[in-house]
Amino acid sequence: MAGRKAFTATAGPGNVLMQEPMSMAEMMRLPTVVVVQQRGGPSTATVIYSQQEVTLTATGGNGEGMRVVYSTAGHQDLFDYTIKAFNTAWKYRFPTFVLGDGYQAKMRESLTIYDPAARGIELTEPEPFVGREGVPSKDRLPSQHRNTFNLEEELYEKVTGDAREYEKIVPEVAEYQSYGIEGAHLAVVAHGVVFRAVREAVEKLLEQGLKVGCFRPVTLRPLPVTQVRDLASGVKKILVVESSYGQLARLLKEAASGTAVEILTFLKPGIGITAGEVEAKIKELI
Amino acid sequence: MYPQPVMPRSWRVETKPHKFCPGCGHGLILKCLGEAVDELDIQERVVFGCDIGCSLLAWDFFNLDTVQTHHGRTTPVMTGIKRARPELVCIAYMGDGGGYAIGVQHIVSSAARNEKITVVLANNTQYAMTGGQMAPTTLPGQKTETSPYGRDPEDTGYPLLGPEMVSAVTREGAYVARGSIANLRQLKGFLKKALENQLAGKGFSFVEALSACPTNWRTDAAETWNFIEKDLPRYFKLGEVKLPGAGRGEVRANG
Repeated sequence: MAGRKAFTATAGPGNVLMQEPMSMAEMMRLPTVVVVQQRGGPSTATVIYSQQEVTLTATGGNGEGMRVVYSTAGHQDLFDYTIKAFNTAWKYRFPTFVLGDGYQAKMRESLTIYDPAARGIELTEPEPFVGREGVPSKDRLPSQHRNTFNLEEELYEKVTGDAREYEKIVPEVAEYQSYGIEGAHLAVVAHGVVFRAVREAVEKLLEQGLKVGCFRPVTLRPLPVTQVRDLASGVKKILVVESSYGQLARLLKEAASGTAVEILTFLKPGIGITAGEVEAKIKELI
Repeated sequence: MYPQPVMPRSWRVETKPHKFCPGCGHGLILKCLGEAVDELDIQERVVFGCDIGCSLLAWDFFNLDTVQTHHGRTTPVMTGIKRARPELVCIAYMGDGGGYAIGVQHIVSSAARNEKITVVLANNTQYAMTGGQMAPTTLPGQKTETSPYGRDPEDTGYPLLGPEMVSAVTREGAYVARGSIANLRQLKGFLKKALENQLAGKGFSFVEALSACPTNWRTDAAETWNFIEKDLPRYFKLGEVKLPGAGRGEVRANG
């Protein structure tokens, strides 16, 4: 609010607590960045491997979940999307999250650290919400921020206005990756570090001539709905693979609603998933 | 036309009359605060934070940049703004529910860290916006919506003494005082000193202001005044509890 870029990093119950200020930020349209490395839940549970904070991060807090959630699959992603998260937050002013998992926080792998300017990435300049130049009322109006309304109608107007803006930015913000989905009978959908196992399995099976592809939503909120629906219309079956009990599948089912695709799941809440396991599961289904 | 009372320069005229109930103490505390801001000539540098509860009705009260926060979170929000922009003067305004219950950890932590902000807390001994429930500051025997037979200290403890608590966790540089709407001259003096302490960059400043809530106390004018002037100071001693650089200041009764 004071015109400096800021972020916080948390996980698990800390993410639960952070939903309070983030739901406020959503309503006040404050540019916030939160980096979450998911824990096994509920609550304190484990700290190593999980994708159990998807629902919480995408839609937590009392509100409509108007926020941007980038799900990262490795260290390069963590670097790239942290830069992007600040730009997204300051450009659109919806709370922005970089969602990794405990595994990413503990593993080692190489990455390229670069100066964003050298790659042509322009950083959005922050601006103060309070404490601007001049005397309030004399030189300018006082800058007064609130999330308190007298009438239900006032709130209705505010929320529907924000929702329209949020829906408008979806095509600019939503991101995905896909591999081998042209002509595939089965598409495997996964996000984050699990997608790496899925991709490895799919590459191997493609070499063996199986009609299989994979799809990774990079933004879990907003989901790349158009691409998900295209995918759902193009394949017979979708297999959702995740280290949680259907949190991604729930988002996907909503996006694919009305299409004829059969959505199957391979769920391992709180533990890792290997390429071998995904490969075996695909063979079972094809 | 009757002559209108003079408003502080830092008040926002077009939002008056204010939104508080008749007889409420908030308007008086905010008048003292507004006059202190005027006298120090810091209007363009102040960021005013208000909490949840009746204090949030002050979100458009002043001609000051204002942020309304979640319940109890005004202290950390003002701390953040002050740290990002040390040239600003940050005032966190809250009630006893926000400051001594849901937000007490922030008061304690920011006091212990000697954050260079000013906290002004209105103590009216209960949660007023929600209909007068028992608060950490409710007096023993006092009837509220959730203590219909009077607060029993055996079950729910004694009233929390805020300035004394803050004084215990702060060190040199802090300014801590308790005033009352029953003595506006004294209260204004405390608020001014608290702001001066922040301007001097010495440390955490904390002023509790005893306030009235006739709506929920269900008192008439005479009873209200009796409670605020006589009953409350028996528990909540008025005066300066801590002065910057001088350790414990003299505690004076009723100014």
